[in-house]
Amino acid sequence: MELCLKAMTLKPGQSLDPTAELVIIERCKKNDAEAFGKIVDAYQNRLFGFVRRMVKDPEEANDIAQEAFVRAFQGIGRFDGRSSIRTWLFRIAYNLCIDRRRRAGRLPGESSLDSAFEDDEPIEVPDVRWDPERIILGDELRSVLEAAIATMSDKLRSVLLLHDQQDLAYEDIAKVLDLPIGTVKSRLFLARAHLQNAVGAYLRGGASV
Amino acid sequence: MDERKLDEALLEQENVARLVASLPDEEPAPAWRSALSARLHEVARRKERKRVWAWVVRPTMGFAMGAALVLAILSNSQESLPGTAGVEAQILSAHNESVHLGQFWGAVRADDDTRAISAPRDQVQWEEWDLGTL
Repeated sequence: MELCLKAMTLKPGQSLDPTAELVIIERCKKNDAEAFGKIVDAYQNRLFGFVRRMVKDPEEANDIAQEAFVRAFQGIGRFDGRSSIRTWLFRIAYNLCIDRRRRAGRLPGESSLDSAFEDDEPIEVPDVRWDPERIILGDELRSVLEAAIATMSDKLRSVLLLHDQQDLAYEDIAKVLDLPIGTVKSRLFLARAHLQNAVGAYLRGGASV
Repeated sequence: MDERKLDEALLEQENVARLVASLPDEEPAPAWRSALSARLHEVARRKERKRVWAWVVRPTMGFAMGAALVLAILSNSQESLPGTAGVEAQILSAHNESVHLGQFWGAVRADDDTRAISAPRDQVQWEEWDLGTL
């Protein structure tokens, strides 16, 4: 089993082997910091990438990502395995991001985004006739995407990043954000629509986001 | 928008999902990782200290609690032993009784003595001539 515990860094979409994950978690529960290091190695890029896009300040993002891992290690005894360790880590990180925002009083007003769906108000769906297959993700377009993601509300951004970037299932996102699956889907739709608008405008004539 | 329509709309947006998926993750700096390792080891040390402390304190506390419990039970049982308080009371009452009896008999005897002394005087038969001699 030591083979499973060798240093590993996963690409987006990959997870720890479930058996290896169980062994590592058991060792972590016995206060093995080295074993927890394997979890850090496996998820640090994903978690850091998520937090970095959720929080604008790089220093704050560094701090939150570290704090997420530290809290996960402190509380690993309470991890019951009902969700994957990845889902659990993202939940801790997301809560830390939201806590920091609240403490700083910078949480943007987001209720209107939800109520748009709940009240059955018409939603502006952008023109999606641009063909993404032909788009090369150059630095400029990447900047447009990053800017569009940065201007979203936390609620939309978190769902978009967890689903489309971190490849979490709807059920896992619902656990991370403590939301019904329907709300997760509706937020994902709105977030993508926001991006479609931004990319469409860029492709039509370089309109800034 | 019902859920089925929402699922269809999401499928139509898959191109956007692919674009987002192609965004690179940012890697944390090596210094960040080193700092995190140091913090994790510090957490592990603190947890270990707590665990050891718990191993020492818990049995000690348990022993102390047990001893206190045993003492409390023993002292209670001594106080409530049947007849213990009665024996003391019996001794005391026997003592009091004997004192009372002693006093009583003492008084009776004294009375008898008085009678014994006074009785002959009472029983003296004075004659007329005796009176004349006074």
